[in-house]
Amino acid sequence: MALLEVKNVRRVYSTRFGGNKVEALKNINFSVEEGEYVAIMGESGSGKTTLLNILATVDRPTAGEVLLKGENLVAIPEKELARFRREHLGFVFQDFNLLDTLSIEDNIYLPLVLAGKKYQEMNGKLNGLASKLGIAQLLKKFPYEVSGGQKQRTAVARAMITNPDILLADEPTGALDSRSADDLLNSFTDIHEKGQTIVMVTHSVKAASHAGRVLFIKDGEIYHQLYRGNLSNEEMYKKISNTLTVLLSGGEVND
Amino acid sequence: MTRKLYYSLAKNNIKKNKSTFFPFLISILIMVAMFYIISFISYEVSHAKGFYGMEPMEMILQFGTYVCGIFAALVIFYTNSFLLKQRSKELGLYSMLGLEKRHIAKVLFWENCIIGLAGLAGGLILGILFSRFMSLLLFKMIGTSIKLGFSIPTISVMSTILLFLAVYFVNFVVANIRVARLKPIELLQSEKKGEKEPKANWLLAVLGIVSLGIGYYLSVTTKNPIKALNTFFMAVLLVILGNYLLFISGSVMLLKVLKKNKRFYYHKSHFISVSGMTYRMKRNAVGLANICILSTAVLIILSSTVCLYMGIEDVLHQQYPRDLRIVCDVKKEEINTDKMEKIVQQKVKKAGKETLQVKKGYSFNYLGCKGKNNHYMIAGTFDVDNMQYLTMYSLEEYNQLADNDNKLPELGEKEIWAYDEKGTLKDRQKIFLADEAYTVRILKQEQFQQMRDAKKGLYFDTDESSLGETINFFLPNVKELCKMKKKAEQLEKKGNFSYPTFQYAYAFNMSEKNAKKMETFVDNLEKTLKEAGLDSQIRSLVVNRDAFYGIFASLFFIGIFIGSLFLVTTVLIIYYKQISEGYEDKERFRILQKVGMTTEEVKKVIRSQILQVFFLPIFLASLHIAFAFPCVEKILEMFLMSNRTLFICCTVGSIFVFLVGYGIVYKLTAKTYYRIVGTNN
Repeated sequence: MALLEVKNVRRVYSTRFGGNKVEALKNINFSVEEGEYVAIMGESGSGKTTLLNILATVDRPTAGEVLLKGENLVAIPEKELARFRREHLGFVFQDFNLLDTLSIEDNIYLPLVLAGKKYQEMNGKLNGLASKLGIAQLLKKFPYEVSGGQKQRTAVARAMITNPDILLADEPTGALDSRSADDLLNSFTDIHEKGQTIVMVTHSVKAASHAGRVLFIKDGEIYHQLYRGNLSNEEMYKKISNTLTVLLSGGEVND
Repeated sequence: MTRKLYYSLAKNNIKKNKSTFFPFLISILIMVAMFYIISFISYEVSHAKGFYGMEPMEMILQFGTYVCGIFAALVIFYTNSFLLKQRSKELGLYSMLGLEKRHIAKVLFWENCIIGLAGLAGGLILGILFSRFMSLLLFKMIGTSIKLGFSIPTISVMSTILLFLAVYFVNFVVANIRVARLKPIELLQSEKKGEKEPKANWLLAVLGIVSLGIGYYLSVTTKNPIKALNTFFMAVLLVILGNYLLFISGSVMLLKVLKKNKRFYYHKSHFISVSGMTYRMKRNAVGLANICILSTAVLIILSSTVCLYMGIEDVLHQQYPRDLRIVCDVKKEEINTDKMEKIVQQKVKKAGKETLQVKKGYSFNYLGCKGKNNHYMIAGTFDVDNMQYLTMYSLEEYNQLADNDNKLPELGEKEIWAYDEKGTLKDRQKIFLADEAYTVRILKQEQFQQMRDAKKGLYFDTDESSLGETINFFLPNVKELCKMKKKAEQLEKKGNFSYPTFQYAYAFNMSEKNAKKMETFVDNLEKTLKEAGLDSQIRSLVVNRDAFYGIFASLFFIGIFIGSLFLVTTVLIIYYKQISEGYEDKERFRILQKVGMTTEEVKKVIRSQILQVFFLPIFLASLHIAFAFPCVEKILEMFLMSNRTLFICCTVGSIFVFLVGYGIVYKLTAKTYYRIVGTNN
């Protein structure tokens, strides 16, 4: 059984008085296996953020179901969602979303503190993670004192410290310069190689080229997907670029 | 054309920032209305010569007007600069969009005009509407009804307009300076400044605690009411200093200590609060300290003025236990008491009344310094610390007054009866009065109480006076009192600094409640006595009641006014603090929700944070008040007010009323805050 299964998901937005209806997602079907690294690509307005929001349980589909380890996310009552997110999902956002009042260390602890864990336990988890992500020297600093790349790696540490079933990343390289972006993507690859399942939404070809599989979404539908196979990052980059060109020009993709 | 642009920009700004401008407008409205009302009342009182005791009232109200004026100006000034700081970003944006500084100044000018003039006009209308009602209330409190038509004194209107225009002008100048000094980039960034984690300054925190401690100690240990006023100011200054230091560094230090305790800090319900508060305290320490000081001031002013007003009858009866008291200064020998009594009796009869509950007698009072080894009435300079009040009565006279059970036995050679409440004197002890030795016989407490009751109404009740400790003596007869007086006079010639008075008092009740009639009667009697060679002072309860009510009611009134002004200010500061923080916290709570905090948990954190910010100052203010209590009580004693139960009730009542008002503000602010942070639904 796949780790994550998205079945017939449809999301329709309607204006307050039910006038105009916009179909953000039409009929989405895909699944993610345990340990997979999946990138979802698409232009702005394609529906990729809506899809990620539904996976993140922040938004609910109009129809269809999302199963994580067989549990239907759509059926989880509102009250328990926060706890569910905390226990099963890890998030990395484009704009970091670190609390400026907490030190780097405390920012990483945040989800564990909310889960009521003891300090010793949290501290034990932190050390390995921090050195792996290259932020071990920064733990006592505050977000305003570190660079964007360091902030984003802090956010990754925060997402990873709960050992989530899936790491969801929303344009994680969007606010980073290219060097920091490379560092971050390498970190993602490392994490993935240790067995972490990652689903990343991006429109950066470079970011997507690190993934094992790339889903293309257009006008609310999965339009196409690419498998890495044995390709190197560069080859994958080229393949994705070609696909995008075809997609943008509106033609069919011939593989 | 362009002028219209600035005007409409200003108008739009106000419309868009309703939540900041509206409370500002309301507070200006209240300030203007209150200032107008108090200057109106001050004007009315000064033009309504009609009853006794107007003059001190006039002075108090005049003083109150100045205080209100100064305070209103300060509040508006403070609020304006606070708002300006908040809007740095917006002004920076104008600058980026190509408006020159003088253009921004114009926009600010129009904003000031709209808000200021609306506040001034509305406040004046409100003030004029309520002025009549408030002056009726004051006169009702005084207990006099003075017929006055509805009037709008030009001087009050003009002084209100001038005062507030002057304040607006200063505000405008300050705004210009601020705009001129900042560069656009700074304007854009000024809100982002200060994101550094605050450092705890141990030295300042310790200094704060020490200063607060000394202030409290001074207040609690004050014994001498004459000195209390100085000590009080010293204590106030120390407490204010300590208060600021504690808020500024003590709070951060405390939070740091909490942070160090890992078990406490890394707990779901402390983690966000403690870290958030650290930043919050850094930015708001001064504001919170201001609120704390203001609240303390409001509460002390309210409770003491209310207490004075409520206790008027107490004070009156202490001062004037009988309707009339005639006091003659005894110059040389005993005075012709029979002649005096006769004249008084005649006059009272003529007025169709009777002399009831008559009490009469001599008393010798001596306020001077005491020396070592039980030497009293010594030569020397005046020294507040060693002040000793002595009162001496004639035993003979007392025995005539007292009923059979309580008569005191005759005294032997060089013996005197004595009683002092502190019990410093022992029976059969030797003491020296003007270097002459006496053996003291101590009255029992019950006997003293009887004595006190017997002479009550006759003398000024020195035992409860605020002038210092008192020792009461009984000398065998009036002749001995005369001798004592001569000794005091000799001492005075040697340059002694003291206040000896030898008086004959004649006190009685006559059921005359009409102050006017009583006043004529008193004047008449005084003249007749003088013609008969008896120089006397006549004090009447009825005549003086008006004066007392006039003074205390004005004080009460001013107390309420200044209290309300302080309250408005407090409310305004808290409101703005909370709102400005709401915008910053919005982002923080959004993140927390993303990271896995439930809406309920977020709400809980918000509630505890708002509660802390709101009630920390009030909690500290209550502490200040508890420690100020002994000191304020002593100061009230100088107003002859010494009813502890009443004062406690007034203090508790004031705190309660204040808390209710504060609670309402809390509710309203919390609502706005929730709306901004976005956890309302």
